[in-house]
Amino acid sequence: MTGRSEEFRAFALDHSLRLHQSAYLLCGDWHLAHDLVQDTLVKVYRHWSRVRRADSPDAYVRRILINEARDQWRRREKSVPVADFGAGPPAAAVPDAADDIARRDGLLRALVELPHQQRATVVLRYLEGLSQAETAQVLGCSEGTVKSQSSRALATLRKFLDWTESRS
Amino acid sequence: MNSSDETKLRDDLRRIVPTGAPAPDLDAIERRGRRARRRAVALRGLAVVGVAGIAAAGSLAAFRHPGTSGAAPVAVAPATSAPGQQTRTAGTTGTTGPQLDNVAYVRQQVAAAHDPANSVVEMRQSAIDAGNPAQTVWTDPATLNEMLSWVSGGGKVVTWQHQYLDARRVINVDDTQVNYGPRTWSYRTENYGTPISGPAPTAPVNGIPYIPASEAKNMLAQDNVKIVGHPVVDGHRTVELSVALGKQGKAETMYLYVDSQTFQVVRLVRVFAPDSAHPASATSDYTWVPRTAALTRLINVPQVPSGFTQVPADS
Repeated sequence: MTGRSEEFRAFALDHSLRLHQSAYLLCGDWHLAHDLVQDTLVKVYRHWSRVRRADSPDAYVRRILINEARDQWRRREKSVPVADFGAGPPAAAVPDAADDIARRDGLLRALVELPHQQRATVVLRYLEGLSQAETAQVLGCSEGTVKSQSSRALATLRKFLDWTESRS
Repeated sequence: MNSSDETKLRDDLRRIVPTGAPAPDLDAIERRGRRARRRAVALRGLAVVGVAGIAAAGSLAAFRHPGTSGAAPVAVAPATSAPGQQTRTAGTTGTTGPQLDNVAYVRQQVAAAHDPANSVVEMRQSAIDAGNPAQTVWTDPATLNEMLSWVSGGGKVVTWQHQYLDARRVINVDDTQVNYGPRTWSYRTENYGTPISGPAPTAPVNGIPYIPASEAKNMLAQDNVKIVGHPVVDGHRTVELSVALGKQGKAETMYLYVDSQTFQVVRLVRVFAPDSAHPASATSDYTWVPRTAALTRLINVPQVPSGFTQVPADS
C-alpha cells in the first residue's frame, strides 16, 4: 500500500462517523447517507493531494459532502419517488421513550423538507458546531447569507419544536 | 430563535444522528477513485484529439473545397432496426472481429456478463407492440426480486415481487402492490403448486412476456441460436442473435441484442406466431445500473406510503 493510500485510509476512517452523521441529516435516509459518504470519499480520494494541501481539509471535505448531497437531491427529484423516509439508522444502543422517538422522527422529517441550503446551514451550524464564518466558508457564501438561511430554517423548525413542547 | 431553542435543536440533532457507522469500503472507494481519474484523463485526451481532429478536418475540407464551410456529410446509423434486419454503421464493417460471429464465444461472454455476482441492477422498459404503455421493471439479479411500475387508469401502480422456494420446494411469489390513484395497497402470495425437483429457478417465473436478461441468457443455451448481424441499437454496437422457440401454434422467435463490448443485453424482441400475417411482438430495452445500497433497498423492500388503505388483492 502506498503512502498516499495509507494517509487517505486513515483520514477516511477518522472522518467516517462524522460524515455519516451529517449525511444522514442532509438526506434523511440511512442507506442514502451511506451512498453519499461513499461518493464523497471517492472524490476525496481523487483529489487527495489537493485535500491534504488545503488550509482546512475538514472544510474541503464538508464542501464535497454538501455538494454531493445537493446533486443527490436533484437526481432524486427527477426520479420516480416510491420510497419514503421510513428507514432510519440502526437502533440506538440506549432505548428511547416513544415520545422521544416520535419527536426525533418529526424533526428529521421537518429537516429534510427544508431547502438544501437551509438544511446544509443547520447541519453545519448545529450538528458540526461551526461558526457563521466557518459555515460561510464551506458553503461559499457570505456570513449574511448564512445568518438569513439559519434564521429562515430555524423559524420553520421552531414551529416543530413548539409542537413537540406542547405535546410533552 | 433564542439560545435555549438553539441549544435544544443542537441536542436534538445530536440525538437523531447515529452513534455508529459502517466502515467505508475503502478498497471499493479507491477502485472507483482510480477509475474516475483514468476516465477524466482519457476524456481530456479525447477532447484534445477531437479538437485537433476537427481543426485538421476543417483545414483539409477547406483546402479541397475552397469557398465552402468545410462541413462534410456524416453517416449516421439508425437508432433502431427491425428484428432480423441488419444495420451496419459506415466504417464499422469488418471491425467486429471473428469472435463476434462465433455463437459459442458470444454465449459464453453473455453468461459471464449476467453473473448474479456482478454488481449491477437491471432496469427494463417493455411494451407489447408499438403504442402500448410501457412497463418499467427493476430486477435485482442477486435476489431475483423485482419492482414493476406502470400507469393504469390515470394512476401509477407499483408492485414488488419476491420469489422464493418454500419448505416443500414449491415456488411462491409474494406480491405487494401500491396503487397511487385510489391510494390503496394490497398483498398476496401466489403459490405455483407443484414442487420442483431440480435447482431453484435462476429468473423470476412470472416475467412473461417481459423477461429479465437472466432468462434471455438461459434461452441462448438452445442449439438453434444464430448470429444475425451486428446492428447499432440505441447507440450500442451489438451482436444480434435469434433463436426459434416453441412449436407450431405457439411458435416464437426471439431476437436478442447484446452490447459487443460488455455483452450485456441491450434489447430483446419476442415475435409471437412469426409466420402469421400479423405477428404480435413484445420489446424490452435494458439498462444496467450500478448496484447501490439505496437502489437494492428500493427494489427489495416494498414501500407503502403512509395513509394508504389496504384492500384485498385481485384474484
